[in-house]
Amino acid sequence: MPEDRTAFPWHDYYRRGLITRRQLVKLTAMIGGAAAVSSVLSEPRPAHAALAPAAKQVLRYPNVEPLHFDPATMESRPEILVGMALFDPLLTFDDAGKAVPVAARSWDVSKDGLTYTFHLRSGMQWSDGHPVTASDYEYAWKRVVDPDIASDYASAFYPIKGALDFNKGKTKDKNTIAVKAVDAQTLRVELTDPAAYFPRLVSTWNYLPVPRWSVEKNGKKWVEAGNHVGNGMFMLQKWDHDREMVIVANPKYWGAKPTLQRVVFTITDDTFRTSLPAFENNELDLTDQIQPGDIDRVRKDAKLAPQLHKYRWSGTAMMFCDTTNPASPLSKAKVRQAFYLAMDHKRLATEVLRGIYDPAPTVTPPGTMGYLSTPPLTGGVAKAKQLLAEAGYPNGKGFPEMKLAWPKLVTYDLVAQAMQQMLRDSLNVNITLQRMERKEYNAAFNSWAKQPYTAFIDRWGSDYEDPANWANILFDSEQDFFHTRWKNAEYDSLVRKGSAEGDPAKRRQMYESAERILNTDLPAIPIYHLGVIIAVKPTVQGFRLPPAAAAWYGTFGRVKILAG
Amino acid sequence: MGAYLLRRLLLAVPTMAVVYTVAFLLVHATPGGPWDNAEKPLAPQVIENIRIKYHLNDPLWKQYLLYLNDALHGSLGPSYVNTARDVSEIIADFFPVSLQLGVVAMLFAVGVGIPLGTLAAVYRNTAIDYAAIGVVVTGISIPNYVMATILVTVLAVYLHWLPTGGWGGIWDVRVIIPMVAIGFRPATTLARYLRTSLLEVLGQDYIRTARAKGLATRRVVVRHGLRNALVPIATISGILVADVITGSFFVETITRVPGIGRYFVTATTGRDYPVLLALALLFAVIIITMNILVDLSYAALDPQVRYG
Repeated sequence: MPEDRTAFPWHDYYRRGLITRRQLVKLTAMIGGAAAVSSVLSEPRPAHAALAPAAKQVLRYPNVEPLHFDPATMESRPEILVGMALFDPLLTFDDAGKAVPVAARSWDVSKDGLTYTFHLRSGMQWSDGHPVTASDYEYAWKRVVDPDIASDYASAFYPIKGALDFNKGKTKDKNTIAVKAVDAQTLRVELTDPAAYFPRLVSTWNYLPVPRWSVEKNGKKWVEAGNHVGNGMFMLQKWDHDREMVIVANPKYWGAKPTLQRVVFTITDDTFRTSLPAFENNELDLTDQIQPGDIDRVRKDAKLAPQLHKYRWSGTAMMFCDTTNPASPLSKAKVRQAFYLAMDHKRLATEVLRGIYDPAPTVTPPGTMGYLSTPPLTGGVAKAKQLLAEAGYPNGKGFPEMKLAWPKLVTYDLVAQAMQQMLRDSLNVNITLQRMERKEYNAAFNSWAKQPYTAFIDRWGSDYEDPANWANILFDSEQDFFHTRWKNAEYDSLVRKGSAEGDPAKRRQMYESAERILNTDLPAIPIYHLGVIIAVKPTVQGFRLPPAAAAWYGTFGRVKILAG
Repeated sequence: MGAYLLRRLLLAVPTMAVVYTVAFLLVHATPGGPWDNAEKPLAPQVIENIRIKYHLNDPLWKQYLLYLNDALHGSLGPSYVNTARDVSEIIADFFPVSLQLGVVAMLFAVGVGIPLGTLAAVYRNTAIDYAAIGVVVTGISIPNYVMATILVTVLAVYLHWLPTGGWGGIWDVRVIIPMVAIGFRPATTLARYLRTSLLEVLGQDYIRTARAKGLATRRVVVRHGLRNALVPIATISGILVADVITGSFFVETITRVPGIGRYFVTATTGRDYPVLLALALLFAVIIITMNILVDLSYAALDPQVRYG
């Protein structure tokens, strides 16, 4: 990865005065420590700048209309971003990957790795004054698994003993789910198998608590402002659907009070199209929705350019190949390897995608255990041609028709066309492109066996930065979320052992070995790692979005508004 | 008149039934379903739970009857995508906004289109006429969402005169950009039709007689010409009003107006069947109502028209 990292336009930023020399040195020094990149890239602010008075501690932020803030069914970015401010998880993870207690002051794990006991802080209150107890977590977790709730994320609870059977409707008895409030301050959970990633799961939004009395009193309307009760640093004050939403500092919060007093979310359908003009017209204090088409203009704008900041997002866009369809050339590993080597990842990221994203020489993104700083396959186009010839298609001769599909997204449109061109130029093969609406794509994707496409472009982002969220879910032959139908016994064995392994050093070794196999056989060809460019007004201090959604807890608590 | 109205209303019932059935079949024929909402693949059991909860495993005819039964009992059901809200709530929240915006956009269209068309006809083949035709061609050529983008860029981003979007009712300054963006095209359509219609009327004998009697041009045009010229305009106005209320999806998105139009887009991409069905019915009601109103307006404009 060093070569690709050098391609990142830091030097250009420094030359144009966007970052200081000190920052440049820091950034360069931290090439290998990608987890720290986001914090370093956050904007420089003079430490002595005066804070704005409390009444002006307001952040204006664009957001898409959330569906609700019910932890059981929260699933999209607009919900998670706000939801993590409205509720406290038991624990979270810092940028270095260390577990940090939040609502739980501590937790124990049994020797066999099967029982977790969380000890809650005492004296915590919900925003309406009810005490926060272990029962609130027990109620909430069992609720997510209830088939009547039909939560998209019920599967995140399957590691808990009894959860899958209850979700399948095999039993109606909630008490068969092994989550139990032993007393007001103690929550005990039993797992079916040891799962070293369980604390990571617990840090996600679906594991947040729920105020039972409000749910029972207001039914599905408990999520509306006025009824909504949370235990987080902020609380929901106003929600004018599709117009505006306001969260304010929660006076009953147990922990340090935030400097920021209010966040006003301007709700829009198309943040990509509407938020940058609103930011430029000073209606918003920041926007994290800048599309590739606007990047060049914004970078050239003397006023806007210094307000841009880039963050890493833990995710990778890939070309997922059907590895078993004998009619498809992609069933041959050598063809997949040839495609991988013929693609110029650096050009795709810096030229085609205007530097918003980073080149992805490997599948698992930096910051997640298993990430390889050097890809196992090398050799460039020359090697790619050789591999293609060995696969039976010398100079592309006889290469059968291959269809590549993707759900409509501007970055996929751009990379698909660029990849088509690159493969034609370097390997003399032609691929047919098919762009689809997301629903149409998902429908084809869900009936994979019947659909006519040989490969799909799609991406995977970390809910939480753990290899279990990558290696096990995506490529274990029994999970195979992207239907590559790839089966590698050694890989399966490594990742299954890895998910249960409690020793971090051994665990890392297992996942790195698995990643090496994955990036050699390439059932998915990595294209780019995700990132985001955010425009922030100079008066906003401390805003940053951690690379995985589960770590967004505390995002608004870090923000301060300077007197401007 | 009363009997005519009753007959038209009764005729609307089978029309609505056809709209409902066709809409039901179409939305279920499109690929994907509400469970495909997530960007990430879902576990099979999770999809199964969703299908059971929303009766999606039932045969289509049973689903049809279930919806119909609910609709006839006044319940439009919960939204599949926005599970915390009922369809009737969504419509009650967003439709009034679209209606208000549609009404002011139409008033803008009439306020600009009628004078523009009249001037073009009265000053036929002069610089005024050519300028008016230029405006008309511009209006017809530029889709409303492009117009909205241009207005936002110029008036908000460059000049900082207006906010880029939002909604605060029809007396709020934020109404200006969407009103102009939506109203401009119908304004030019009205102007184009009115110019043709008025030119025809102004060539009639009775107009020549009026002029010969020494009546002032303004009086001849406004009193005698315009009223008759407005009959064909009333016909297209009905379509324009329905179009303005229901067809402003993209403008509402660009200018952040919380109207039903953009909800329609969300419901379509989300395969939110109950919302789509309800909106299809709502839009059918609007179009039928406008058609009836247009027919009734003929009587007001032309004394020779009688209903019974």
